[in-house]
This record gives sequence, C-alpha cells and structure tokens, in this order.
Amino acid sequence: MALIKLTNISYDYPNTCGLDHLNLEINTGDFICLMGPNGSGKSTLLRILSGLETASQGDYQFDDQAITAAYLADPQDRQRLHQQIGLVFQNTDVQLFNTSVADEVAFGPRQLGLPEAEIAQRVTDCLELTHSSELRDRVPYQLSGGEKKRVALASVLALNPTVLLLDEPLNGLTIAAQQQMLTLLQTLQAAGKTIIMASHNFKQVQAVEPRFVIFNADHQIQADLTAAELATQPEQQAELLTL
Amino acid sequence: MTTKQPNNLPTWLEQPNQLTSQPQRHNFLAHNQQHLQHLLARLSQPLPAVQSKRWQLSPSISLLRLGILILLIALTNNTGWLWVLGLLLAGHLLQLSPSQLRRFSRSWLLSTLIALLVVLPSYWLVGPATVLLFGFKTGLILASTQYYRLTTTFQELLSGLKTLHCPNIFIMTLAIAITYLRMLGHYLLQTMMALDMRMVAPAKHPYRLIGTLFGNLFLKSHAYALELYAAMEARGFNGHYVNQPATTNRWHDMLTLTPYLVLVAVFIFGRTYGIN
Repeated sequence: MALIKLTNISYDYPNTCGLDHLNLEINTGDFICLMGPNGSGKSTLLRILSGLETASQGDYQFDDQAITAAYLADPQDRQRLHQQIGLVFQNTDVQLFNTSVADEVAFGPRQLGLPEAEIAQRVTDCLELTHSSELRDRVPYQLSGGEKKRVALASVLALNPTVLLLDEPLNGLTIAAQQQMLTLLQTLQAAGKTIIMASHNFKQVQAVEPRFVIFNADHQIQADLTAAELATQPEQQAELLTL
Repeated sequence: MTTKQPNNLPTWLEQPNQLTSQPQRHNFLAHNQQHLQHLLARLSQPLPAVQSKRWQLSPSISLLRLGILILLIALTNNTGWLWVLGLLLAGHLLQLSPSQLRRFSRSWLLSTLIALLVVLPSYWLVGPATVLLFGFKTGLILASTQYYRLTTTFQELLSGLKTLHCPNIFIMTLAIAITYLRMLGHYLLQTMMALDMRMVAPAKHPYRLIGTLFGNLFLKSHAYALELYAAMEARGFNGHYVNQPATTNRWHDMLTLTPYLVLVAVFIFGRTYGIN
C-alpha cells in the first residue's frame, strides 16, 4: 500500500497553472528526486504534499487518510500531518526565526512537550548529523546560506518525521557539503524514512540512485524512472544535465 | 536515551514517530495566516474593470477624475448635488463585474461604517442633519476611492502621477514602498507557513512567537533596505530620480472627462450665484 497517493492532482495559481493532472504513488522508504525546468511545479507539489496548499482538483491520500481542505482546516489534524511530514523550504531564511541555532532545533521537540533531557539529546544529535555542531550558539539570522540549509534540515529532523520534503536542498552548498547532505539523506532512507526532494543538480543526485520524477514545462509528469531505468536512457540523462 | 554511533542514526530517529495529539488552545497562526493571505491578494494588482482597450481610460485621466469627484463632494453641502454625484458614481459602478461589485460592496460598507463611527459624536453637538450629510459625503468619497482602487493597478497609479507631473522623488518613494510592502508581506507569510509546518502542538507561549516573528521581520526589512539602496547605487543612482517621458492623452479620455468639467463649471456658477 502506497504511503502517498496522488490521483489526478491539479493546482491553479491566479492566471496560471501550477500542476496539471498529476498521478503519483510513493511508498514508505522511497527516495524520490523531483526534476524539471523552473516553474514546472516541483515546489507546488511539495507544498501540496506538506499540507500548506490544497489541490484545486484531485485526491491526495497520505497513509490512507484523504488530505482535504476540511481535514487541514482542523488544527489537530493539521498538526498530526505536520508531525509526520517535514519540509525544508527553498528559501531557508523564512524557516529560521529563533534567537540561537540550539533553540531553533529544539523548537519542534519543545512543542511536543518532550522532557528537556531528550530535547537536548535531539539537538546534539541533529546538529552532529548535519555537521552543524559548531553553529550551536550562533544566531540563525547571521548564518550563511549553506549554514542555514544545514540548520533548517536539523530543525526538521528533530521532529523525527516519517517523510522529509526538501526543496532544492543542495543550492548554496559546497560540493563537499552537498555530498554530506546526500549521504545523510541516504542513511535516513535506509532507516525507513521517505525522502522527496526537488533538485536541479542531476550530477550530484545521480550518485544516490533515487527514483526520478521528471516534470515538463506543461506542469505534468513527463517520466517516472528508477535510477537503473534512467541509466538506459542517455537522451533523458542529457536533458536532465541541462536543467 | 541512546546516543548515536559514528555513521549511524540515533535510536530515536530510527524508531517510528510517536504521534501525539494535544488539545487545541489557540489557532491564531492559521487565523492570521488567512488574514495576511487576503491582504496580499488585495495588494496584488487588481484586474481593470473595463477590459475593452477602447474604453479604458488613460491613468492620468482616471486620477484626475477621482480628484475632481472628491473635490466636488468635499466642497458641496447641497444634497441635490450630492445625489447627482452619487448617480454619476453609480454609473461607473455598473461597469464592474459581479465579483468586483461584491468586493466593492464589502470593503465600502466596512470602511463607511468605520468612518461613521468617527462622524457620530457630531450628533450630540449639532444634531442628526449634519451627521447624515457628513455620513453621505464620507460614503461617497470612500466609494469613489474604492472604485479607483478596484479598477486601477499600482503601475497605472504611478503612470498617472508621472503624467500629472508629480515630483519624481515622490513617485519613486511610492513605487519602492509598494514593492517593498508586498515583498515583506510575502516574507512574513512564508515565515508563518514555515512556523505552521513546525507547530506540531499548540504553542505554549503564542504571543512570544508573534514577537519573534516581527523581530525577524524587522531585521529582514532593515537588511532588505540596505541591500536595495546598495543595488540602486550600483546601478548609478545618485539621489536624483530620472523619469521616463509621460504618455499623451487620447480624445476619448478628454470626452470621458467632459461631464466632470461640466459639473465643475456648474458648481462654480452655482457658488457665484449662491445656489449651492
């Protein structure tokens, strides 16, 4: 049974289309990489999956639960969904609002009412995992773009979500930091987490052999291929390299 | 709690998430998020009421028309005159689509009610006649401005001001303020959405969160302002805003303005001979 099931999903922005009749099934433990040209609908899909937006048309099912506008209107249901799905925004600037990195990472676990000892442990673990321990006492506002990405991921990981959504997580990172992040994501996948990320960086992402969901400029899914299937399609690979 | 081994995940991260559900106390975030979304939608460019290019007024004429209408409403105390001006305005409202008309009615009623609350104390000072007259006048002025706001984009407003030879620095300040306001609004909305994603339980101190959000917004607006000015300087800005040439008016613009000019003439005539 699929963890996430999208049936005939469309999303309309004022005067423009965001997504056009999308069908997609994602299983627990999948590592999905959404690729496609700018404005093709990758971020819109992530926002729908996270429950920040509701589709104009179609059905979205998460763990056999229909995610509708009515479901998201209920604060308890919404918070339940957000405990299971974490999102790292493309512009991580908006995601960090606390006065120290440690407080930032502890924000989610504190909301859950966990004991302070457990919160401290989670903060230490998440900062270590994202190679951000040295940033612990820094002010998030003053961090560089790459550091903010790492802290944003740590703050989402601290909630232990089942599904991790990442919007262009590799942007602004050095090659070494990109590899570290992909290795961490691979480890999380091996532990049973579902990873869905939007990226333009085909060369780097290729190494972790995800399932590629490729969008076209018409906001539709052009191809849904495993890494092995993609390896047999040099034309498609060449196209992805130009993104 | 078990700590993590090198190259491994901590135990708590490998275990399935234990979902908790706590009773809801505040829903201020979702509530305010909706308000902000509506505000941003309002700040976004409204669609012109008249789609036909032929009957679309040039920005300067529609601004001039608004100015004349407001001036006439403000200057006259004659109820007959106010009815004429009201009918003229109603004629314009007929051009609005049903959805725009609904939007107009909502915002007009609300703003008129608020304005009436301000006018109301004069009831005890000078009696009901003055309250009714000022209420009527305020309602008409608000209706004219709402109609203008609904049918004019910000670009058209700026273009109209340019054509009417408004000081360049004023136009530039207005243009930057409008762009900047929307940008900060979007930033705040995104921050609230990010916060919403991590609000996995009711906030213990919701008002402290509001302080954090606005503190962050202030820091961001300061940084944006500095960056904006630096970018302007880098593109050769030296404190003097160079305007682009204004567009010329067409004959039908002048034709549309004629009734207003006639009204001004009649008003002046009436004033001279003590009719108004």
